[in-house]
Amino acid sequence: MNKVDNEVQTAQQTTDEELITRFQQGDVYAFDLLVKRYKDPLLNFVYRFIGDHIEAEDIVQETFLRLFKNKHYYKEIAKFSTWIYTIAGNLAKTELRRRRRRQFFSISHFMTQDKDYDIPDDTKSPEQAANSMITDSIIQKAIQKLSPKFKEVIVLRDIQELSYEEIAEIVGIPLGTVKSRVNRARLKLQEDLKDLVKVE
Amino acid sequence: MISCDNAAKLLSDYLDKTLDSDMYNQVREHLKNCKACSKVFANVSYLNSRLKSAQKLKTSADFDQKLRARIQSGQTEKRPIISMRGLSAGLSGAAVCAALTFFIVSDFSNTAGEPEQLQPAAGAASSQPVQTPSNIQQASAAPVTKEQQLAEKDSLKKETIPVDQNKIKLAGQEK
Repeated sequence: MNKVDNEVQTAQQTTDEELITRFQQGDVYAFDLLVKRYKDPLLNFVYRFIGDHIEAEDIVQETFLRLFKNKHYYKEIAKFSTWIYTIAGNLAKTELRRRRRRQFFSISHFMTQDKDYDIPDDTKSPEQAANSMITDSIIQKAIQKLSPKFKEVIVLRDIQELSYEEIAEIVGIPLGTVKSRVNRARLKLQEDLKDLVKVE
Repeated sequence: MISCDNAAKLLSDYLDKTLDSDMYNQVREHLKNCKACSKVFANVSYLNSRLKSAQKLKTSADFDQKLRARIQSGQTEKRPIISMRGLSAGLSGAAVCAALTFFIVSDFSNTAGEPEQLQPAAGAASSQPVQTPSNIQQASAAPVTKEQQLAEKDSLKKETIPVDQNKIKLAGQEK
């Protein structure tokens, strides 16, 4: 194995906590690796939460900017992923609150504004082909309709596939509440889409 | 057999297979006999798998470049903030000095004498002394010196009204 491959493998094996510690000690390359690891997952999380691709990317940029400026605030009492998802989640919630205030004062409040990013649907299985009415963008619209507390947990659990324990830490609620909210969010989503789903 | 409400509450645990065997079997038995709950469970299971397999977005090609630029501009912004503080402190001090200077200068240049007299429009900028009843005669006779102007302002040094001492009655004199 050559030197470059070795470095790549080493980088892949290094944990997030090791990378943040190295970054705190001044290793900026460690920061670059953390950006590479988390930029896409965070984009997916934030996009699913706020429904706007461009703004989601801006929020992810802001998340990393805060990480860069405030690296010394991270202490190894929680997982790094919990920390960075918390920052991104808080920024996304702030954006949602700002939008709600803008909508309240906006004349166009009564007009529908479709800002959804059209995710290409490349489903191929027969079951999914039979459910051709259910596209990713329709599911995204249904997620957008959920209240923020349900939206957050269902995205973290069913899209980001985080554990209930981690979600409890990120959102700052008890484990039992997380499970209950995930359950209610799933039932609500099913309720909104039941007429479009054809499952035999 | 468990109710539909209880089955709904256990839905996530059933799908995640985290129920104990007894409870799991009770839910399964309910689903066999309840078409409505069976449909709900099937729909949730389907949507769950769709969410897991949903297209994952990727950041734009220039994401890293933009981030670097934001970090750079964030670092350079520190200097203006410090100099803004200094600037505002300097401006505040300058404003205070300017106000003090204004009051001192306006005090010196104020030749109106009596407060109720109005300054002529060009009085502040004018080099001519202000014509007041008390100094009109002086002005016509001889140029007014600065000391005389200052003396005019001092009400104690102005011409006093002559008083007839005989008319002043002190306490006890009337008798």
